[in-house]
Amino acid sequence: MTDISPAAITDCVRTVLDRDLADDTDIFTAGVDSLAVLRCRALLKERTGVKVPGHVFFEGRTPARIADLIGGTHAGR
Amino acid sequence: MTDTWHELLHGRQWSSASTVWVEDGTEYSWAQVGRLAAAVEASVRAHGPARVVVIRSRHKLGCFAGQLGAWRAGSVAVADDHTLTDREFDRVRPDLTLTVSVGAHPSVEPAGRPARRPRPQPLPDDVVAVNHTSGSTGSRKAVAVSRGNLLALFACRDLDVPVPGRLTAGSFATPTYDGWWFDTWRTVAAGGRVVCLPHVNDDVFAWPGLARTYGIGRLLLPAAVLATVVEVLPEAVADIPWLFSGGEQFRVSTYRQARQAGLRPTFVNLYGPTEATFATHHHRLPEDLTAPAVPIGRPLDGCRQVLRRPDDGPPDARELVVNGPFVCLGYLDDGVLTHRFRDEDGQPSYRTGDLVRADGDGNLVFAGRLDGQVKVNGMRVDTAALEQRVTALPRVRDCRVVQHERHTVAFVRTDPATLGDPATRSRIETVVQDFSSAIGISLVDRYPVRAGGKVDVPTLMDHYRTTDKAEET
Repeated sequence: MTDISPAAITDCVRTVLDRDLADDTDIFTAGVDSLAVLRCRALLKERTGVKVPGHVFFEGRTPARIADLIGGTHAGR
Repeated sequence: MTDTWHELLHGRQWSSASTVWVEDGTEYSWAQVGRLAAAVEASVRAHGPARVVVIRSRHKLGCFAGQLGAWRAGSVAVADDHTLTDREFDRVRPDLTLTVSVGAHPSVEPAGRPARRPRPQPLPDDVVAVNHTSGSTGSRKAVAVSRGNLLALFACRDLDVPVPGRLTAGSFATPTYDGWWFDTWRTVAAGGRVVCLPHVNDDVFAWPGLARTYGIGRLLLPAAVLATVVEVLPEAVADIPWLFSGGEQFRVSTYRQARQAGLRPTFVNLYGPTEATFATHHHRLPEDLTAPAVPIGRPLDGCRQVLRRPDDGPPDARELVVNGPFVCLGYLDDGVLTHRFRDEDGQPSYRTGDLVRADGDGNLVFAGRLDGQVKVNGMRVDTAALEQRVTALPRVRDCRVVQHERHTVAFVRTDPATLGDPATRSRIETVVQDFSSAIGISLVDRYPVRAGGKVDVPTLMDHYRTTDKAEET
């Protein structure tokens, strides 16, 4: 089980986009693109050591849902 | 020539126990790949005769071994990683589709049988494969690739990289893009080994480990992907000594960012239309790049170029026409060759529709599309030259001119600290007004990109409307 909280995702997106957003904000509506997704993934890996695949971002769309998917992916292994 | 082809398909290498392919954490020997190809060949013969065979597989290896098997059976092999649509199948009109599964229990199964109508006209004997254009200028066209085209590509010395021992190449291109020929078949034809890299959206973090474990000697990436990786995750390509870029312009900003990130590979910019197999021109970037644009360079050995004065366009630009063995046979539609790439003398020749100029060293520099010349208030504007001059300004990273609806805007990328710098903006304005006073200017610290890696134009224009344009009025 991997412990990545929605707050950790929100923090990364906030760092990358340099703007505030809530756990249930659609990050793609908020201006995240595929380059920003890669930045977030690199930052998450640096901060938590977890390598998150890109599709988790594209499917999850909100920090809360992305955190759910990451937990689910790792819990299933 | 035919002997070389025969040797590639049937040589003794296909019984070797050494590794030729690495994908999804599994190593495959030449013999394993050869056996999978034999199963494909047997299936083509059992369900044939089939002049055109689609090889469908979720694994790159399935497509590769499928091509080998279909070629051994004398068929045209069309690889499909489940991305081709009915539009593309209508163009090539397959006689047989095989689904190839790779893994613990490899299998080859026919996937439904298309209605058999006799092909109105047989395909020339030397057609062995199909290239699909990217479709950026309409739907994807099917290009007939001949045995001679592929053999010329395999024999081209200018594409060699000096590595000790046999080459290990990274494979990024999917089987329906022409980079596939360079990544996989050219490597294997030289006795080398192919290591498939996960897509950037998948486990890009595995790249450095794969590069080190297998000693990847070269990697070809689409220019937009290379730019993204260099900017965000340079360590992903840090151990690869030769990085090739293709598909679109290699931007000076990518080179600068690579150097800033401490990357010291040899960069090669490749250029060539899909209608000419894979590439026709190359430019090896110097250690210190000072030019405002990365040239497309010179013809690869075997390729000849003709610079044609266009009827319309900037006076010093020329349309690039390519001749020689890389030029494919023509377009396929409804399973027949409908348009041949030939000059008046019947020799292989393709008009690229790309405008070029020669720089002081005789290298060609891309100067825009013949059909994509931008007109602003009825005046023709050389956007490639504009972008190059703006990019050469201090503190500017990149420039892209975008025309959308009634607006033409130069989007200039700088570092975030420079966005509000009046001196930088004024220098940019001076250059842009040289071209047209009707072109808007917008400073951005990044270009929004869509999932495929292309710049997201509507989002950029929204940004322009809500910020710069609002300030102007």
